[in-house]
Amino acid sequence: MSLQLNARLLTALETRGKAELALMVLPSLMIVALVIAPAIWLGVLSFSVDGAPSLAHYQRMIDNSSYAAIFLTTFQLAGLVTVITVVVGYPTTYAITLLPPRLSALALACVAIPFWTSLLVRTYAWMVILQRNGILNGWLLDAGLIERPLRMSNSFFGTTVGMVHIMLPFFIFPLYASMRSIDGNLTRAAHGLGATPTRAFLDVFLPLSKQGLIAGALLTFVLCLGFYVTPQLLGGGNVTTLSIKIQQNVIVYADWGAASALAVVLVVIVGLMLLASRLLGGRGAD
Amino acid sequence: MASSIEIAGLRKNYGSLSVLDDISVSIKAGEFLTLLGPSGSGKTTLLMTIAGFVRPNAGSIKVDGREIVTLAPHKRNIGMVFQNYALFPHMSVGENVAYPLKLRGVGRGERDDRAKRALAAVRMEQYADRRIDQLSGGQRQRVAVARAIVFEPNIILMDEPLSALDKRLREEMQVELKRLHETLGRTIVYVTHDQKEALTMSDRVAVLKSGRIRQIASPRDIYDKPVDRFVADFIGDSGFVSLTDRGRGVDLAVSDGFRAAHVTGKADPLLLLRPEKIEIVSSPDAQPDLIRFDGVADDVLFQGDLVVVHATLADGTRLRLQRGTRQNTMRDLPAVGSRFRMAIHEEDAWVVSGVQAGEHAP
Ligand SMILES: Nc1ncnc2c1ncn2[C@@H]1O[C@H](COP(=O)(O)OP(=O)(O)OP(=O)(O)O)[C@@H](O)[C@H]1O
Ligand SMILES: [Mg+2]
Repeated sequence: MSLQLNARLLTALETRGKAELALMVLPSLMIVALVIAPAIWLGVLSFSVDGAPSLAHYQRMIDNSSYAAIFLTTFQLAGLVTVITVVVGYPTTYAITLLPPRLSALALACVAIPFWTSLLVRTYAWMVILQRNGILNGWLLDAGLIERPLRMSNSFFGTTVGMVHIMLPFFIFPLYASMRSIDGNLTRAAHGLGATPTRAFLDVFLPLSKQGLIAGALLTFVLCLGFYVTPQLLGGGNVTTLSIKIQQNVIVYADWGAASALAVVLVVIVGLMLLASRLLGGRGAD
Repeated sequence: MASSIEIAGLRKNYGSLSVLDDISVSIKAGEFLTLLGPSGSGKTTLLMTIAGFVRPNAGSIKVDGREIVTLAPHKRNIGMVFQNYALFPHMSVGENVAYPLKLRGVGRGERDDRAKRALAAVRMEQYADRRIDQLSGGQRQRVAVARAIVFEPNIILMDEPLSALDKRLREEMQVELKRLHETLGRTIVYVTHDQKEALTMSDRVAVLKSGRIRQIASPRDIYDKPVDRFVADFIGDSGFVSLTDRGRGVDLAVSDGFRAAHVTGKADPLLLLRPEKIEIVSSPDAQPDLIRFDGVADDVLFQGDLVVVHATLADGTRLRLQRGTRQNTMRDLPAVGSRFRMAIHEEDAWVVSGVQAGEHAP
């Protein structure tokens, strides 16, 4: 009797499970329609010229030497920004973890507030600071450190500064989370076993925060590769990155195929990098 | 080899909270001293202060006569087993144990050798290549011990190292730690919540309350002759019956000798009744050295190796009695709800003051 009842209830549960699965179909379809389909469409575009299949867009990237320069600039910029972000961000994050709870919350808020401010606003702010007759040049001139204004905006330098500023929270937050998860007794233990504070940091804390460091640096680098607003505004036409070239191809030349081909190459590069880091990270974690 | 530790006037405050309040204790070289006390009594803080991770507000810690209170932890050469083991997850078992040697510039070959020997001492030699997260709790604990002894420190501190283990493993490890103490002969300061563990392992036990040492004595003395009601209550099961003349209905006749030795001069004297020291009196023959009292049996619980009787005395005091389960003792058990007579030998009896003693020096 009760066994039969159980069987009925179990079947009912199974049916409900299927119904719940059916509910997921709609959101899934939306993702396919809005995200995956356009991406596939762009991919297809990149392999065709005037509707006919062709590798011309990719061929152009190899033949036209300006593309090599664009790739180089993009990677240089992303690399430099990542290195500076790591060099500035790691010690900052470490210092935040050492603060008493209330101060560390405050420090994190200071990191977060610019993060919530519009990207555009922050980039314009840097333009105001860095331009020829901007605040920084004003100070340097007044202090007598320079005789004529430095060219800081409309340059690789300005772009780098602006991007580091924008990237820091992306690096600091995940790293902070990973550092907080390190048991404080571990460095203490090393210290008690005979390690100087520096040695305890190098032998214990640094290796344990390595995963967070790599994840944060990778995120920063990948975000930099596709960054558009800041190089466009602070580069002032002197810094041509992949993203800017894509935009030009669409707006100036109305060549969706060429733009798509660049986008495809970028996606493939990022994908390969993530894959490589997964493989390397996987081995490190074993 | 082993070092003595001389602690005097040690104080630590966190804001207005006094966590260590004038702690003074001298620990002999090679002694196994256990700190026992309720949560928040300052055990960990005292251990951390000896290790150098917590800086006291006042006081002195001398090791073999040398003041170390201002010395950095890495210069103290003290082995420590943390409560949560604090093993380095990014190093193998062998690397963890060899780490203190690496810090001391011991060459690779000797390092591996000594690490292996330390692991063998805790019967973990075959696990040297394992990762820490592949070990069970008991194995981790043993690795932590190996890491604390491998550089042959003269002092080893252990903070509740067995608290995470189940009862069986814990008892096994107690025996192993005790054996290790005997073979190494180092000074060990050990922290535990568990009074039985403290009694089993230690040369002396220090009972802490609110940052003060209430009593420090051998396990037998601290069990049989607790200095006040708190210590008696904290160590072992205890019942108390008032010995004042207005004994609220319980008439406890004690000999004049016993009264003179134990009762006179104590404010609110209380007779300490340990469950296993109470006899059940079946025959009315009068022995002069027995302190007698009557009660009603509330329940009689058979537990295999023991039988436990809960009884209520005339003044409402509830007692626990504990007997073995041999047939001749089982025959004397009272029926539930019946009145019966109990007694304690004067030589087993101990009297504490119901008024909390202030400070106490051993
Ligand atoms: N860093 C700190 N800041 C403020 N108060 C602290 C700090 N460390 C410990 N305390 C307080 O000091 C008291 C003693 O703590 P301690 O850790 O020494 O107790 P314990 O005897 O080891 O307790 P447990 O048995 O729970 O481990 C507690 O009231 C605790 O809240
Ligand atoms: Mg503690």
